[in-house]
Parts: sequence; structure tokens; C-alpha cells
Amino acid sequence: MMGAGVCAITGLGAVRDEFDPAVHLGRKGWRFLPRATQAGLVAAKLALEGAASTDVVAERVGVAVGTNFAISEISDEIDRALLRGGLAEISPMGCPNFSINLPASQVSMNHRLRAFNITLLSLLTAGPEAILLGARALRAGRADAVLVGAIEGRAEAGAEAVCGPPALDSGAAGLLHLERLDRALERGVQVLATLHGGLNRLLPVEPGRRATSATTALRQLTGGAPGATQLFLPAGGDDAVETAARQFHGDREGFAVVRGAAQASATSLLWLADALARVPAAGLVLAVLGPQGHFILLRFASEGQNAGSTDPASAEQ
Amino acid sequence: MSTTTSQDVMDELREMIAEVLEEDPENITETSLFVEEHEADSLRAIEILARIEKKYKVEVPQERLADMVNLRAVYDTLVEFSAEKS
Amino acid sequence: MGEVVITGLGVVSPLGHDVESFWQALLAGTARPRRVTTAGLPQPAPLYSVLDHPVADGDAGLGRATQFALAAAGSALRDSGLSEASRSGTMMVDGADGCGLSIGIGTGDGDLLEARRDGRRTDLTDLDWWQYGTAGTLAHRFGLHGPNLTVATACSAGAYAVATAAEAIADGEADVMLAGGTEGVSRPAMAAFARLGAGDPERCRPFDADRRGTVYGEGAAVLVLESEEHAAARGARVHARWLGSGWSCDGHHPTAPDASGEQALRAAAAAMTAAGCAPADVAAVICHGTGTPLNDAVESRTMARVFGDRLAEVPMTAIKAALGHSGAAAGAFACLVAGLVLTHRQVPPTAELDRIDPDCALRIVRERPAATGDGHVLVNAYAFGGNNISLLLGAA
Repeated sequence: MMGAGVCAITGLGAVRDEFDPAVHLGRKGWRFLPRATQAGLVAAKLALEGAASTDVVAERVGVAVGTNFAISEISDEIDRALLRGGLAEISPMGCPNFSINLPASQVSMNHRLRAFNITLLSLLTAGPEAILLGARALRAGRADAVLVGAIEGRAEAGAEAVCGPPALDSGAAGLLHLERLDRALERGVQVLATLHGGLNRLLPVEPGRRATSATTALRQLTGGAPGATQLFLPAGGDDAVETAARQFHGDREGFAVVRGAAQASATSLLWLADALARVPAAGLVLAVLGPQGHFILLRFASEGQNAGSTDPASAEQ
Repeated sequence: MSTTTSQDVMDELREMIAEVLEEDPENITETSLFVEEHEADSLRAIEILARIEKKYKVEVPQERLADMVNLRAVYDTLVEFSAEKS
Repeated sequence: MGEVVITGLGVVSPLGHDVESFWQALLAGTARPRRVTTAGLPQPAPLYSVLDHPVADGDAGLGRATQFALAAAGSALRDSGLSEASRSGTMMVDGADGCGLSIGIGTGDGDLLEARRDGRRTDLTDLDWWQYGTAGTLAHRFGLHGPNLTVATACSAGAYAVATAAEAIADGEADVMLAGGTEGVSRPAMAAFARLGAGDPERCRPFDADRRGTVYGEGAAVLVLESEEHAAARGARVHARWLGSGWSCDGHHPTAPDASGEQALRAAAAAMTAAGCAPADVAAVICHGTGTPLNDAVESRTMARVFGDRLAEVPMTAIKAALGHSGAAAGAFACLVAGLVLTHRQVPPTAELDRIDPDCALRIVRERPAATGDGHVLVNAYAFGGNNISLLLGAA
């Protein structure tokens, strides 16, 4: 199990569909960006402000973002414009956005965050994966703080099969500001919750092996059953993983499952942004399963809780 | 025969450039520099050129971008390539 | 933190689909750009294409990027001995949870979506609309159930994939990680580049005085990374050793690199710190070298700052002259070539270099291979959007 080192979540930004970029981003500089990127910029600003990040050196802040569909619309537009009328039909200002790392890069550009910048793409799980990657990079000393989460755009035709009915109109983003717990305490900034560990696996297809792998992963993440388990599945559900997760959680309250991800890789992040204020004393396991079998586990504790004291198997490696 | 005056064209260009540079049209004078005074970069310059080519149905080689530093220069370039076309 | 070694290599490339042919063609300074006509683009443009790549029965309907990756990954696993050694005797690798993969993806299987838009394909089903699914497909094909990452840092994605794979092993998350990148030609990407005037009309000419831009290439490069312990236990042959990487972000402009090169320099310095080495320990450099006026100028200045007085002693090469710019695969090709440089102690020439730009005052290897001394190989990869990485490989 990958110990993330204890990370503190000290800021968050959650944006979905109904937002006015001008309110947060000022008069200019965002009009030619795809809506998804605009959402990412607003979420980033909120997360950085919440974390009182002016205390943190921008060059030492990294960015790790998951996405599935942030550039689907613009890529589609460029290709259709080309087919329709050739190069002259294509707006040059839109062109850089054919590259899927641009939404995250724009966040770095706007705030001069230069420690590193990484975009991940796994279907439905890229957001939580980015949290894990960012936390690992923090532990490795690549940054003093990281902005992690997901930036999303309108999904590709066909995606309803795994995402569920499209609820995402144009853009959504959920970003967390993470830093080492000791630094957060030193800075005297409010800690919303703490991240204690995580796992990244690709589950086998066969249901029996799938359930076993899911259970093994949960056990590696945390020896004891958590206070809350929040499981996100693709729209069609997954009996093997749901059963395994339910059994691991135990026969008591605190288990919840969501089928479908209307905001793709941002769905679990948007949920998390709301849920951080309510992390129970015995911790929260966030589990996200993608349709290709990507399985991401993250273990959170409330800000006042040291998970190590109640949970010997969670000790860092 | 077109009744568009050179002032009309100048105003059209000003509107178009203002939109790309996200400025109020009043702030774009004939001589105010796109890069130094209006925060333009290479991307916005290419966009301005693209819009001119599309609207006025001219073709301007990308090498001329470096010369198109303000509204006056853009206007003169347009006149030059419109003349070549006709 | 454990030591990480490289035990397998595999390619699908414009220079061939097996490592030996690929390497010999590189040493010979071969470059084979073709001129291709793309719907909607005004004239034929150069492209370093993959031709006649191996495709397994049943894979014909997959996107080309995934096809390339499957073939390169299969070669790499065979080269490492892991697939032959598997108990099932198939391509599946034993030790399910302990083996994962990290793949760099750019436009992915966008060719399927292009075909849907222009009506050539009307039969897309299941997850065919999901253009970034290569890593999932590879995992199921080879039975790899450990960590699974799809890294999308554009032109540096392949290198970041190798770095994140190495870290997964060093952190104890996996014993074995496939790592690499894949890219198939993308019509909207070609259009975007053409619209931005970012392409060279003739060929990819890194560090050339007359260079005008970059040129697209395709292909896949896959490496097998393994913990030293795991490799030793099974008596694996080691190509090279992973030493470390440095990351940074320009945070400057969507398409242009930061001319100051500050962040590129920081990535190189951070890589050396991670590897515990100094510039004097570097025997060769695989440059990012794209053929754009800006990248090559900035990279040259950065390397001059890194190596100082030693600059004239360190042979450097730009493989995009032979392969084109294969986007998310480029950084993986660079890592693979670095491994071959360490094994063979030769640096391939930069293909078809006419006249070096006097501002690029590097010791660029040209015309014939250069011998290297002992020492590590530095790899640079930079990206549209400013995602920089430098990494170091050492001898086995």
C-alpha cells in the first residue's frame, strides 16, 4: 500500500456548470478558453484562496489534474471545421486546446505554479488518481503544496453508457489544495481533512478474481473497517466490487454507493469537496471504479484525527 | 460598387482587433502597439490575421505578422493585399 | 527506496518494429519522412509514418495508437523474458497485482472518432468512443493488475510515464511496470499545428540553421521497468539502470517555451540531484530537439548552462530528426534510445543535419555515431503547455 505521508487538505474549489467566469477571473484572459478550462481556473482560484496560498512560494506548488472530456468538444470542433471548410474554418485561438494537458497548464500559467504539472486520463478514476499522484509528489519533495483533482467538459457521444445520463452541460471542476500536515499546522491554516494513503489497481475481469482483488486492495489500504465507505461505480454498476466493498465495510451504517458519474472524472471530486466537512472519526474510504477496471482507493481522516492511533495496519511504509 | 469607406474599414478592423485582444474598441488607436500596450501574443496575432483573411477574403503570408504591430499597419496590409487580389 | 532497472525494450516506429532494426537504422542516420495528403489541409505535409506494423488477429478494429502499444509492449515483455517465463505460457505476466503499467497518451485512438465524424466507421461499439483507453487494453491483454496510469503531458508524456513507473517500483507499489508512450497521426492535431504555423514544410531538422518547425511522427516505445531485486531473482538481463528524474513546469504560455529556460534548467538540476550525480558524470544527452526555432534555441542555452566548460565534450543527439515528433511516444523513444546508448556506448547521429545553427553551440553528433565514455545518459523532454522533465539512466 502506498503511504501518501500525511497530507492536509487546506483548500478546495468546486465548480459545476452554472458559473460566471468574470466573477472570479476578471475582465479578460478567459474568453477564448474552453468552458472546461474556465471551470478549472475558477476552482483553482477558490482552492488557492481557501488555502491562503500567498504564504506558499508559487514555484513550489505543483498541479496534478485528471480529466476525461475537457477537450472533447474543441477537438470535435476543429476536426469538423477542417472537414467542412479546410484550415481557414479553424480559429487559431482555439488550436492549442487540442492538447489535453492545456486545461491543467492554464492553471499553472495563471498562478505561476511551476513545481510540476501532470494530466492523467483514466476513465472515471483520473481525478482520484491525480490526488494520489500529487500526494506522492509532495512526499517525494517535488513540491511544498499541490493542487489536485479533476477538470471536465461535456462528454463524447456514447459516454452515457458509463457515465449515466449526461448532467454535465459544459464544464465542471473539483480541485483540492494539499500540503504536508506539519507545514499546514506551521502556517496556521485551517485543515479541512487529512489524506493518509491510497492505492491504484487495475482489477481483473472475472468476477471472482475481481472481488478478491478489490478486497485485498481494501485490506492493504486500511486494516480496520472505516467509519464511512463511499463507492463510485460506472453507470451499469459492478456487483463483484460492490459486494466486496460492502463486506469490507461491515454490516453497519456509513456505506454508500453511487452508480454513474455525470461529471466523469470530476464526480467523485465534487462529492469529496462537500463531504470533507463530515469525515467521521473512524475515517473515510473513497473507492472509485472505472469501466476498464481502474480501481482507486483513498483514505481520509477528519482534521482532528490521527488515523495511525486507531489503525495499526495503516502505518506508513 | 462598394460604398464602404476607408473609415468604415478602419472601424471594422478596430472592432475585430478589440474583440481578439479583449479590449474596449476606444482603447485601440491607430498607433497603439498590440504587444507592448495591449498584451497581445503570437497566438492572438495569428487570430487577428485569420479573421481578416476570412472577412475580407484575402491571403496574407504569415511572415507579414511581424509587421502588423498596430491598427494602422493592419489596415495598410489589408489594403496592399486587397489591391493585389483585384 | 528500491533500485529500478530496465529489462525489456520494444518499438513500433518509422524505422522498424524490432529494436535491432530500429537501432541500426538510427546509427545509419536514416530518416524516411513521407509526404501525406490530409483531408482539408491545403497541401501534402511531411509525416514520419508507421507502415506495416504488426496487428494481431482481432485487433484490426482498434485505434492505431493502441495497436502500436500492444505490439511494442509484447516485444518488450518478450525481450525481458517475463512473458516466456509466465506459467500460463501466454503473454500474461505472472504476479498479477505486482505488475502494472504507465503509458503516455496524446491523441490516443482519436482515429476512430475521426472515422466516425467523416462516416468511414459506423460500427463503433462498447468503449470505442473512449479514445484514451490504451492502458486499460494493455493491462487486460497482458494480465497486469498493479498500478495503472495514463499520463497526458503532451510532448513529454512518454518520459513522464517512464518516471512515474519507476517511482511506483521504487515506492514498493509494484515489482514490474511496463512504461512507454504511443501516438498515431491525428487529423485535428495536424490541422491545429498547420493553423498555428508550427510545422516545417520539409522535414524535422533539430538544431539546423534553416529549421522551420516540427513534423509529426507516429509509433510506440515501451520499456519494462523492474525492481533490481525482482530482476536479480529471476536472472534477468539488464539493459540499463534508472537513476532519477527532475520535473518542472514553465507556467508561461500555451504553445511557446519560456525563453529564459529557467524551469528547463531546474528540471535538469533536479534530475541530477535525484540521481546523486553531477554534470561531469553525464556521457551523452538525448535532446528533446523538435526542430522548432524556439525549443532548440532554449534547449541549447539550457544545456550550455548545465555543462558549462564541458559542453564541447558531451555528445548530444536529436532523434526526432529520424522519427519525427511522436508526441506522447517521443519521451519514451528517448528513454529507450538512452538505454541502447548505454548498452552499446554509441550515440546515434542526428539524421540529415545540413548546417548547425551557430546559436546552438552543442556537440551535436552528425553523419556517423560517436563513441561515449563511461557515464550516464541525460534525457530531456519538454511540452506544449510547459511540462518539463529531465531524467538520467545509468549503465546496467
